[in-house]
Amino acid sequence: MSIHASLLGKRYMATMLHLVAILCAFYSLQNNVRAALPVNYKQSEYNKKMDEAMISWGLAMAFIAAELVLMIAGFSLFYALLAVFDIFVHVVGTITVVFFIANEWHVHTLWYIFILTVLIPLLAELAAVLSIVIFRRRPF
Amino acid sequence: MEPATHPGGSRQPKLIMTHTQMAASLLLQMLLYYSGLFSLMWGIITACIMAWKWDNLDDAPVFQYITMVVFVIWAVVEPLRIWFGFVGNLKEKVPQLAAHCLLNVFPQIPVLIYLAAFQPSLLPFERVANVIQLLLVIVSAGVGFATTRSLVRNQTSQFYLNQFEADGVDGAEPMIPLTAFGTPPPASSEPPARSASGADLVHSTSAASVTSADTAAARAAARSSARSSAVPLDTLNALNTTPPGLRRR
Repeated sequence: MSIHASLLGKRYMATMLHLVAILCAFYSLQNNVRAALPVNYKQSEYNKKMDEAMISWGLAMAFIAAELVLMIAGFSLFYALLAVFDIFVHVVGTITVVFFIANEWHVHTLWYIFILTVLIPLLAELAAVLSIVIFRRRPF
Repeated sequence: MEPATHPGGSRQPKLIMTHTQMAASLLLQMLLYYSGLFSLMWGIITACIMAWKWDNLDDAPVFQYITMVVFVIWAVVEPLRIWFGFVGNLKEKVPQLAAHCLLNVFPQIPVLIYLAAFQPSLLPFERVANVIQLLLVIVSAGVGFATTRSLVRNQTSQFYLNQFEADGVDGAEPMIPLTAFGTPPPASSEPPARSASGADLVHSTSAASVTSADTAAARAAARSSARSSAVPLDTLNALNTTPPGLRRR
């Protein structure tokens, strides 16, 4: 089997694990929001931070799902460097999200996790899609 | 599917097609591949979770035993399910594909429904990952069933077409079905100027796929060929009838 086929399998596993981790983070958002508030907090502050947490969580989940769909569609199948980069970034992202859940990090770090480990791979994937659809590169 | 034209004149045996060149399903193959990978990860993680729950949680013992048994059933059936799906799809074997469909529906879906919904104490990972696993198996069941159906139809029409060859239709040359591994090489090379259009090809028994233009062109080709070995018109009409029990796809 070629290198691209084996990379695809590993990339799928890394992305899927990252998606499952982000979905699990939903159940611990309460603890993270409480970690971000002072000891006697008002309900309005809590609601505001919870809304922000839900937005960042929802964006992270949607973007990882979009990247999975684009990966299965196969635009970036023959870009080995993109696959390796994706595997690395998603594994790092999964471990970071697990720490986010287990150590009850400040809820704002979810934004950093989202930008560094979800947004950047999706932009790279979209660049691959662009190169194939618009610039008509045929890397096979 | 576009009919392939074969070069040369009527000296070469006529090619016939069933309406699918390859009955293996790409969608099912992709589903099985990704489902197998996900099952591998999920199985390892869930085994660790089961061990942790056995030691640390205080559920009723009957539920712990039930969950353990259910997970062992899943672990035994899942490699079989994926294996049958691979072999049945890639080698186009109906028994293996039917076994894949059965294994999807019978142990896996109830097992995963129990693991996703009725377990006594569900961790967040289990809620998330078991639902994803359940969705994958449900979609596998649907796509596997559709693939089995189209594979059975394909093989049925090949069987009936082979029967035409075995019965020896009047004046017809032996017909060679197109297979997934390509067409047999032409017996002799003829100058391609003889073929008027792609009408040397006789379509499969799907009635509507033989248009009137093809029939007229077939008649023209039959008239213009030197040998009277082209398929006569009544054979063409006989082939246009759908054998009993075979619906058009």
